[in-house]
Amino acid sequence: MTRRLALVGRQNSGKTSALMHLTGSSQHPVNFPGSSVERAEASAVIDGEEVIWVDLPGLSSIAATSPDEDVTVSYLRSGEADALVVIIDACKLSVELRLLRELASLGVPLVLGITKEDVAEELGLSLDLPALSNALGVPVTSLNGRTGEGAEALGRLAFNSATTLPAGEWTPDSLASMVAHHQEGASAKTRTERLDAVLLHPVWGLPLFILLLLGIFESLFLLADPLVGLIEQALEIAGDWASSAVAPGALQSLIVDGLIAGVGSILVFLPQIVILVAFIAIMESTGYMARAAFLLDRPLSKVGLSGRSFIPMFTSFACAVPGILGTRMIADERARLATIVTAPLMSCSARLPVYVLLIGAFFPARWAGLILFGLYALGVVTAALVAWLLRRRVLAGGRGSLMMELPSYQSPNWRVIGGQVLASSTAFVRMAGTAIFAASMLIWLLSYYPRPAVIHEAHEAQRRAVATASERPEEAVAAIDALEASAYLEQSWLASIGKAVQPVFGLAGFDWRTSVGILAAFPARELIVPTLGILYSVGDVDPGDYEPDSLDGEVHQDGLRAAIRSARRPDGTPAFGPGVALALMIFFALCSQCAGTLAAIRRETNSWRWPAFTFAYMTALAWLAAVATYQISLVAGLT
Amino acid sequence: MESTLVKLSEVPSASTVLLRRVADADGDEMARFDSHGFWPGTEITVIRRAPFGDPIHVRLRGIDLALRLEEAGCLWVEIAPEDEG
Ligand SMILES: Nc1nc2c(ncn2[C@@H]2O[C@H](COP(=O)(O)OP(=O)(O)OP(=O)(O)O)[C@@H](O)[C@H]2O)c(=O)[nH]1
Ligand SMILES: [Mg+2]
Repeated sequence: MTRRLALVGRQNSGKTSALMHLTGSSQHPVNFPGSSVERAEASAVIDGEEVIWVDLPGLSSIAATSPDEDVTVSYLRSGEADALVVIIDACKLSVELRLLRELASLGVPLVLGITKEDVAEELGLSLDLPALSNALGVPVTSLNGRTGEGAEALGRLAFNSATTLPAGEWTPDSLASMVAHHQEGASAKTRTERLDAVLLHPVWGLPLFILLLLGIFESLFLLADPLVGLIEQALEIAGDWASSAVAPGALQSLIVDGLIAGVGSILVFLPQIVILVAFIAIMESTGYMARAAFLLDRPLSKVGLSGRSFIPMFTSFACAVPGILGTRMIADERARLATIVTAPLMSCSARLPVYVLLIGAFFPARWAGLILFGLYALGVVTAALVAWLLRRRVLAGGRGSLMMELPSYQSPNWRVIGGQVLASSTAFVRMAGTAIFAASMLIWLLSYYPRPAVIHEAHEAQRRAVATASERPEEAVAAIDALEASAYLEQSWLASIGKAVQPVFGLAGFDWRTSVGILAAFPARELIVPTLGILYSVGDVDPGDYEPDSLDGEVHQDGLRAAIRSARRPDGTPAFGPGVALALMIFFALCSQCAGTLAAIRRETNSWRWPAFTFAYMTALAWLAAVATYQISLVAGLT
Repeated sequence: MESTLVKLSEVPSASTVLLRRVADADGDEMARFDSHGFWPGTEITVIRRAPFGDPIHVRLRGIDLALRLEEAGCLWVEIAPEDEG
């Protein structure tokens, strides 16, 4: 049997960091208490033998009071762990020792790993580890969770020398005062105190927080736009190449309209997602998240949530699934449920492509950051309203609690942030290559077939006619080609589906193509982009029109944005305008379009009721808000 | 010298007090206070209040903690001797 060594300790003491250094596996240690909510395992070899390291959620007491602590306690009680490595933050020795007492009652052999001695040193505090080990009667060693220094020694110690804790004569206070030595005169303000004086300022704290968010949204455009342009150019070149290299017909259309317009259109948004994830990772890494929770606790308590809800909600800006898992650190069950069902209203990174696409196409650049901020704010405000209603009716009661540790600030851990960015961009590209690829193929197929001969014959006749009669035959032929393509599209299978549901969405100003996009987006919302890419680019390409010199110059417009800007309805009016675009973005801001999120809610609440409720209320709200937006925009003349 | 106890929620910012007893907390809350080091005799410093006056930022045993006024109301404290006049 491979031995299992479990990392336990209080929140934020450095367990996940320890796992990372002990096993070399990639982990995301994060600077706020309660960041790990699941058990994680990774293996390593110690003295030629394989062991399994188990990372557990932080624990303040074995009288667990929140679901993440339950995970740890039930694992410890299962008896699977052969030895415990108790990770202890050097700065908080007395409370750490209290937990150690409780852990000792499990009777499992253990060793102590002392982290954050570097932080303690800044505070003028040093620990006498040999004395600690002597007094306790178990091995003690130090580990720097930032650098990994001491990890190997800790691993070997845990493997060879774990001992059950003898019943000693000590109390946490007596032992702490015996082994912790304070340097005299080390009273200068620490970095954390100086930063807190500004960031938690009673007047400036909140404005600074809002400014920070605004800055992030602005930079999503400023930093990402040049990169997006580059990817678009590459796609355009690929499309031109495919048009010239592959003979016109089904295969060419599959590559140009299906693959490049479909999968390609979503890949364009990789830079935005990378930047968003990086910002969130930086915030998590520094320790600011717990501060934001402190600043926002009061406003959140007004709607029945707490500062603790802030962290999972903020994580949901990247993706609601980890956000929903993250609610495990909320002890109050009803507040936790209210957080779970409203977290999907936070605009996740999958909504970002839709926003960026439509804002870029229909609104001036100087408004871009603000409109984006508005869409995020819409989600936040709606979530607040829904939470407030729930907490007054269905989920009323419970006493508010916060009691959250504010960790010392850390400089961002670039290695961890890099790992997180890499992981999410790989996931994004993989998703584009699998799910989005498959969906794009299906959508292309449904949009390409059937191909009745009558359409071809009618347009062929026209082409022959203009070829002799027209003064500029090439242009005339291209125009007829485009007409032919849209005639095919208008009678495709997809069009029948779209036209069947269009009455529902027509009130919000969406034509049948956008309606199809919305339908396609229910399993995963980012699917709207390839769908629009496929549907609006048809009739836009002119097969065979490839000339080498068209590779430079004005030909490279901004792809899909230009296509939807110039798209027309059958009656010749524009398919999109600022009003429709706004309605569509608001629809996406509010709608529940993610199977993964619903599955996570099902798992975390152990019932179908909450996912069903989430889906119903979000989708209904989205539709109502989109219709209202469009109708108002009609009155205001925004179309 | 007889000193009266006050609730931690009523202690002004930037003062240090001694915890005397924890009251009116339910089982879970009791466990949380205990596990965060709120033991009788502990020195607690109130550092600041959040923008709307609630929660408060306190420090005890090397831990910085955000505490709601409602929670702080369970903690009965005494102004520490060295802090008095
Ligand atoms: N300076 C310093 N920072 C450390 C050390 N060990 C861990 N950290 C930092 O402390 C923070 C928390 O580390 P994690 O490994 O996520 O802690 P954890 O025990 O897994 O926390 P939870 O899962 O929330 O219970 C991270 O920002 C780490 O970089 C250390 O020895 N020195
Ligand atoms: Mg962890």
